[in-house]
Amino acid sequence: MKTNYHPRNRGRGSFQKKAFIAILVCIFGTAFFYIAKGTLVRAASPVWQGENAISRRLNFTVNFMRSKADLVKENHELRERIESYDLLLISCRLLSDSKNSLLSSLGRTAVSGGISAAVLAHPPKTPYDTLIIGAGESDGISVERAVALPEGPKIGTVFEVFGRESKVLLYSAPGRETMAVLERHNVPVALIGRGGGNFEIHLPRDVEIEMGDKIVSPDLDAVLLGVVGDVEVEPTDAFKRVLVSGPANIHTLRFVTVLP
Amino acid sequence: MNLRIAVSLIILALVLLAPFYVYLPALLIAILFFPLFLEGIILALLIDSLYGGKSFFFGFPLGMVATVIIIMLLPLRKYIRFNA
Repeated sequence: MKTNYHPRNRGRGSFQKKAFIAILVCIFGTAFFYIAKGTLVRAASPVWQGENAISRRLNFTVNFMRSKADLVKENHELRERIESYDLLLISCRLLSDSKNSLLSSLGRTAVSGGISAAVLAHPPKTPYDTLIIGAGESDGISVERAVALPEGPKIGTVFEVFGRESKVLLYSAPGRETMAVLERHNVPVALIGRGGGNFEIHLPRDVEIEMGDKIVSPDLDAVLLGVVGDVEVEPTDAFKRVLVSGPANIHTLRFVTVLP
Repeated sequence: MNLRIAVSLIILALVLLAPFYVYLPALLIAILFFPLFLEGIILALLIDSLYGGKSFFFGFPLGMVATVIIIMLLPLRKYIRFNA
């Protein structure tokens, strides 16, 4: 039987058509989601708030079901920890007072205050080391403002602001570089984000560094940015690779402070 | 068709409630399972717009990756036996 078409070309035409549709969906989808970003975050915010409330409630219920012996043991441990923290607090206050007096003698003042915000979504829900916080333009938040833990250490900066929500890019976001200082010898270093609240530093092999060394911000406040967790060095390398963990577990953050 | 919609809705719920190591593999499996799963591109773009940071392709890298995977799977589709 004679045919007037080439069956072999049918597949290629179909592939091109489908690929074209996929590319169109991607382009128009990107444009749509770029415009509707704020609305989507606002729409999802009650879901995150509800989920946070439920998980806290669930946690409470699980704790309630624990045995008496477990609770007594935990109570004892916590009492011991509180005592050690009291001592630490006193020494921190002394340090803070001496730092403030030093700053005032130089004619400078330490930055204080800020806006507290609840964390709506945090890693591992967010795949890019970002936080979504429940404070936005209406609360006076603006782009590039530093975000810190309530205890003081800085963890990132605001990079997108919506009406009542904002997005925070953590210093540990993959590939992000942050200038810092290695406290041991005041060596300036570049903290490279590796995701999951972790960083990496490359140092000449002669620089002395140990596990537990602190990495602080290069400004006057010198707030904690990370703690050295591991040092990797090969006999043939001129540099050593230092793995740094962030000051807090970003997977359990509940509140942050947006600094002025 | 109903299965596609149901799976899309389940992944949408996972995106809002579950960690990324649950919803990203689920999305990849759905893209592999369903032929021309354009909903996957939409879901990937949604993930980027909700949680995305500063990155390439206007901050929508996952959307682009999903599109590339879907296009690359088109000629391979006939060799994949489990497609719906």
